[in-house]
Amino acid sequence: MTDRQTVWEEMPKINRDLLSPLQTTTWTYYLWVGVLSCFVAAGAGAWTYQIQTGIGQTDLHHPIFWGSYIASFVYWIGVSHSGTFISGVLRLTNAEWRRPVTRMAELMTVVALLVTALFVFYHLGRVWRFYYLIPYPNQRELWPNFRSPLMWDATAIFTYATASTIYIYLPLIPDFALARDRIQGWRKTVYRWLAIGWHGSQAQWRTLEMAIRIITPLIVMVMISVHSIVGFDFSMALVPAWHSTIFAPYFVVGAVHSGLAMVMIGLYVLRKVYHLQNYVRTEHFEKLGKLLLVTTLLLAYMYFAEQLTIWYGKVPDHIAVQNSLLYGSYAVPFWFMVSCIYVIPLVTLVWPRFRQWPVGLMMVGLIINLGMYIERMLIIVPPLAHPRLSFQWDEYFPSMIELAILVGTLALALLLYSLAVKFVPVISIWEEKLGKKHAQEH
Amino acid sequence: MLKNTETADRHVVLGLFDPTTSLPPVLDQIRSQGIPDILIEILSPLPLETSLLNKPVRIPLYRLTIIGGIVGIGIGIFFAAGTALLFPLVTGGKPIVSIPVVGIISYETMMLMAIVVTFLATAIKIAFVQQSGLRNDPRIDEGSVGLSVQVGNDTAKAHSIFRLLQKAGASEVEIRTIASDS
Repeated sequence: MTDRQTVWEEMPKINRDLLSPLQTTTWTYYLWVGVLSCFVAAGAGAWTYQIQTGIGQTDLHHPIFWGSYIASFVYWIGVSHSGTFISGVLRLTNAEWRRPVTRMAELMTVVALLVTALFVFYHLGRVWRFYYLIPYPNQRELWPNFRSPLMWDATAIFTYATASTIYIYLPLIPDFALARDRIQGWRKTVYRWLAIGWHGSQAQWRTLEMAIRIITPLIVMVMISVHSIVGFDFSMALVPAWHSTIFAPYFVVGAVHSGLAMVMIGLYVLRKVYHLQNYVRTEHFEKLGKLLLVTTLLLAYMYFAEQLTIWYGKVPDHIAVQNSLLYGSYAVPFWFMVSCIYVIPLVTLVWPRFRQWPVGLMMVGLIINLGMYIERMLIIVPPLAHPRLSFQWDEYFPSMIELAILVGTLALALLLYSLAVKFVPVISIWEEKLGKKHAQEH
Repeated sequence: MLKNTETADRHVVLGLFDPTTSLPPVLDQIRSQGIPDILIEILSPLPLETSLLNKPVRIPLYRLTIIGGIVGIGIGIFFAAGTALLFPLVTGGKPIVSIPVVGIISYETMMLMAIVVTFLATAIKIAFVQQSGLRNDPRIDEGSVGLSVQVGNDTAKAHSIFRLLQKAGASEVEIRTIASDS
């Protein structure tokens, strides 16, 4: 038997293994979904209360008008970079090991972007007037102000959300066709629609491959632009400690850092729950660990450069913010954040044996995400809490309503992801087969 | 298995092959029966490395991407510059039309339109530009390669192709018939 025969003979098993999460559901899954739904309902209730009674239910006040909602917005946008980076950049560099990881990461991107959009609405307060953001000819003859970085943000995120949805959908078409022929019930009808008549002809494969080849570099460029623009939201303002040229690249690297860490968590959990050890192997964790080490070093370098410049310049407005972080009212979260996103990843991920330990890597992923969330809060709150006139200095901590909405939204993200893995194969089946074929040929 | 009906208007012959079978000689034999490449299709669970069929591509996908991108730039310029001119917000020391802003918005709308147009073109090509009578066969995803040949309403030719595919080593061959009103 030749190697080539082996790959083709493995196909029925690959189909069975990778479609099984869609076909079998345990009671623990229903329990998990039920618990998450309760949290989502609580969050929805808190938001409804905030809409009814006004944005005053938050702890946002002068001069701190941006708080947990904007920090969460920045954080979730960062998480959304997981899929595009893993899938796009690694596809461009022909990294074969990406194959079992891409779909899980792309799903994270779409879920994270859906959740990100919610934070804009939470923060709007008068959410029923959201359409003021949309450029359309109206009676007021007034257009949105495109000179504002917030409008750049709205445009970029709309582009990114649309492009990411397309980017996850295209490679899914052959897998939807596979599911269409093997799964019964209402889902069969949905898969038939989504498979858009796929039957695996060479013309279809050629078209699909060409489309993926064209869209991949485009979406990577969109990914970089989106988080740069999120960075511009801050750096374009003349707020002390925000007005910095490093913000755009720092935000991009930070986003990739938290995104990779989130992929690590998802990879571990899905592998464990759906017994995907044959597909998601230790080498995948090891390679992601190496990438995470690179982003840790890059992010630390940028953060150090930024803080050193502020410290050496000693501009009073800027140094006041830095002092509040180093030994002032924000020192505890600051040093905790430094430990979470720089120190712990660095001292663990440098060890090759640690990078081969999936549980350890998952824990590091959790720690990094906790740290990155705090980091987002520390980028936003301390500079706003220390305006140039010191009599305006103030402090902020999220209110109970804000915390309820944050927890509810986190639960919503987990719920959407959990529901998605019951509908979408978490590993790209045809790409996995292609990867095995390439591995056996070379 | 041979499915044949006298009332059928069009026949499609489908042969399933072991993936180790060399298809070019089989294709040459089919071509020698006077069947052009446009009526032949290869079905596989994976993209094949080399294109075995010579089919003309009417509009290359990348051209549509470029057209979409150019339209996107136009949309971006309208939003960032056009709307500013429609409702000028005079701010001290700042121009009504800001070039960096036009650049950023146009970049995003260019990307948006390029990606959306590429996607729509891809979806249309996949969904509608398909061989008549071709349909998915689950056995292909299990590790077979399918060779589908359209022979119109010529029943004799359908049988001839049927025998040819059998002789070429197809593990299974069938003639699918499509009624004229379908």
